[in-house]
Amino acid sequence: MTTLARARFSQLVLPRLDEGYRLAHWLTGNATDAEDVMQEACLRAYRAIETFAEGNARAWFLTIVRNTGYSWLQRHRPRAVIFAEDLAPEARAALDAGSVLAEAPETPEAALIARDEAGRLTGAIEALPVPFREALVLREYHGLGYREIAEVTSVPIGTVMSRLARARQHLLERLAKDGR
Amino acid sequence: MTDDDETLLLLSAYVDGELSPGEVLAMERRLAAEPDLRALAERLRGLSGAVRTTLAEVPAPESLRGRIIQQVGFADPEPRRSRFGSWPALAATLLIGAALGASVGGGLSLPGTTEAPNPIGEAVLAGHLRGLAAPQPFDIASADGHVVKPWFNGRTTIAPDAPDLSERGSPLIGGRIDIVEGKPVPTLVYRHDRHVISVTVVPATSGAPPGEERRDGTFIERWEAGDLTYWAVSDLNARDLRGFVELYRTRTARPR
Repeated sequence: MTTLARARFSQLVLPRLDEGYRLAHWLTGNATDAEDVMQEACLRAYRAIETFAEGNARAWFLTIVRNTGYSWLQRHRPRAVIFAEDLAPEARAALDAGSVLAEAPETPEAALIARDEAGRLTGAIEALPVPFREALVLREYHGLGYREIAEVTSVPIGTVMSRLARARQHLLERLAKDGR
Repeated sequence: MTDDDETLLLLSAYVDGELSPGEVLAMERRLAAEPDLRALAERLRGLSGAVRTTLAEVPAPESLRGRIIQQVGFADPEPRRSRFGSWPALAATLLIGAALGASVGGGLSLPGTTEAPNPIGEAVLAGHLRGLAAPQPFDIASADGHVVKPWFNGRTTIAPDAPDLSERGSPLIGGRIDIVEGKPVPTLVYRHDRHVISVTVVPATSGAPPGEERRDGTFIERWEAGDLTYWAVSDLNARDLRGFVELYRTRTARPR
């Protein structure tokens, strides 16, 4: 069955390496760890490839990368995962202050970012709690729909929706603060 | 403040195009009436664009692919060489195939080893292998060409002739849909002895000249007829597969 496994691996996984790598990168926050995660994820994908039923190969592979990234984080940075949800109240607190809606949109974000050092946005994304960050990456970079994100991250669609809104809320806040 | 929470949630989903038609309508009415909301929608859109750019900017290491391929234990196809030509031990089998082809095949030309990777061949082979791995290699089981051929109508844009060749030892056993270059295409499934033969029919777009290839024990023959390219894939030996292909071509060339 190795012929089959190889054929499927080169068809389903190899074309998605860069994409998977970027997800791993944004999950772990750095290049070395992302490579470790990818190597492990690809090995998992290869072992599972014969049992992968026809379907959304992309979501299937991204799920493996995501889960591998999570177990990696749990092993090496337990605090990043444990505290992720604890940070959520902060978002709520910020939201409760009404800042986004109340604040006058002095600077359009696009212009702000164009003028800026991409570094600020990068920093703001990196500062997001992991669950928010992964929802954002799956949506904005991978272009997945809410339903697909819900499948990949094993949460209800409503949670995806609120995580994305919160993530954006965080970013707008942070950029507005930095911009001043 | 729950209202703001709710609003941001809905607006964010609106910008993502994930609201239901009814919700979209309601949101657009609100947007028309509330300038602040419009401004926030603009900020969200701007943010999306900027985030997308930033996320994609992370450089993916070039060495990754090589290491992963090495790790799972096989050599990566070189971009310039035939994909079929890069599996281990393939050089040897190609030589044998070439010798066989020259001595037995006669009419069939052999592809050079320098041809570009053929994604159609990849997809066709993958479809065949998937068929073998499945409980049965077909979506519709029938030995009747008059059942199989019309079954493809509406499922693909091609409905190939499906002659029953059982009197020559290759009964038709069914048909299935394979996906080649993102499009559904018909595959006829025959059996010869204990071997499955897949005949996949795709529009004759480009590239692959008629010929045969061998890959890890699987033989692939392709030929053109009219505006279609036919691919026969089987682990049957090359001689019998060639015989099957000739038979199939003779029977389908007959005016009907």
